[in-house]
Amino acid sequence: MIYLIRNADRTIKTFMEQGADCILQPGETLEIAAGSFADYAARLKLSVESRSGETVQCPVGADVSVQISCPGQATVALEVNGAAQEIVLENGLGQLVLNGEQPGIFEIRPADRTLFCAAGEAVLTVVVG
Amino acid sequence: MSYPLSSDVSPSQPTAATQYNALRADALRLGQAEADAVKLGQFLNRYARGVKLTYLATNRLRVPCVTTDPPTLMINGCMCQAATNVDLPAGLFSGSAATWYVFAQRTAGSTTFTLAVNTSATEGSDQRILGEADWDGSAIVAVRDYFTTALGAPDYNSGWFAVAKSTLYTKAHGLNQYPRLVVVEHSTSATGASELVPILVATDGTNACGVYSYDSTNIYIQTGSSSSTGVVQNFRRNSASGYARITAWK
Repeated sequence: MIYLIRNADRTIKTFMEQGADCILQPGETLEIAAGSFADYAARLKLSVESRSGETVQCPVGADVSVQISCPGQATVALEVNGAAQEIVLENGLGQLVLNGEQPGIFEIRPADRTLFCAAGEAVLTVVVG
Repeated sequence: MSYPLSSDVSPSQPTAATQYNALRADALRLGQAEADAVKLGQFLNRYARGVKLTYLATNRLRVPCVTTDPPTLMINGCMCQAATNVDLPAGLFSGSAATWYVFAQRTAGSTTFTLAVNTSATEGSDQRILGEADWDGSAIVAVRDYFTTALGAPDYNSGWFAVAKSTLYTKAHGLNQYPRLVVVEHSTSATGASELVPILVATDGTNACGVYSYDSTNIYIQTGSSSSTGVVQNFRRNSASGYARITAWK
């Protein structure tokens, strides 16, 4: 089983291996879904050179390729620094290229946060510089 | 039942059977009835304190002697105590890689003990098992001491949960008291298979702050607003996402 906490606006705050110990904030709700924690976490993964769930530092110069894994989906909507982009996937896999010519921070997260939790490996920060 | 059962006798006073039996009950069971207490020798049969099995050299082990708490243990009903370090002689390990079991060995006529090793864990009649050593064929590579009290399993384990910046996570630890120890770990993998980094500090982009607190009911994790270090800032890893796990001991 997998345990989800939704915010008052229905976006997914977190997902958890266990739920009996969670204390909800006002407006939050707890959901229980089938499946394993690892399977749920694999619904959307963003990575650079196999690194996910952490801030990735890249040198200025070359473009940065963000790998996207979203099994079972033909497209996925992401936000890059708040701007929405739709990524076309092939067999659940896709790619997002970030311009690495200038120093900067790219924060990538799912646009539909009622479908995907903006935590875990579905959020990736790339620091160029 | 009063203790002791026995009482002083006067010179020339005949010793009655009841006096002898009371004295015997005091000696064997601290005066308690046979139905209520095992014999003192049985009670102390597995007694040990001050015994710590340690690595000494590639093929040697030591039970160090601390004068304020000397190695003391019962072996086959005999109270043994070492007054100096007890070292395993060299040359007792042999053959290919294997687990060797380490024993305290008593010898008739001695109040101390020596060390012995065997690939069988079965105690001989004058032996007490102390631990085990992993032998790789040429050297000892690990020692496990059966008497050392390890940090036990946590009294609370949150399991892994996904984390993000600018978020408060509140977990009920169920200890009904303030935890004596709280550990919050960060993983980049949902299975916890990555290198684990303690979540101690996160940032709002300018200030680095502690992340968690607790009371007698809950443990609170408040992440920071930084896009790069909102969950953890560490020389080994920065992150504003990933997974966290809380363990706590009372």
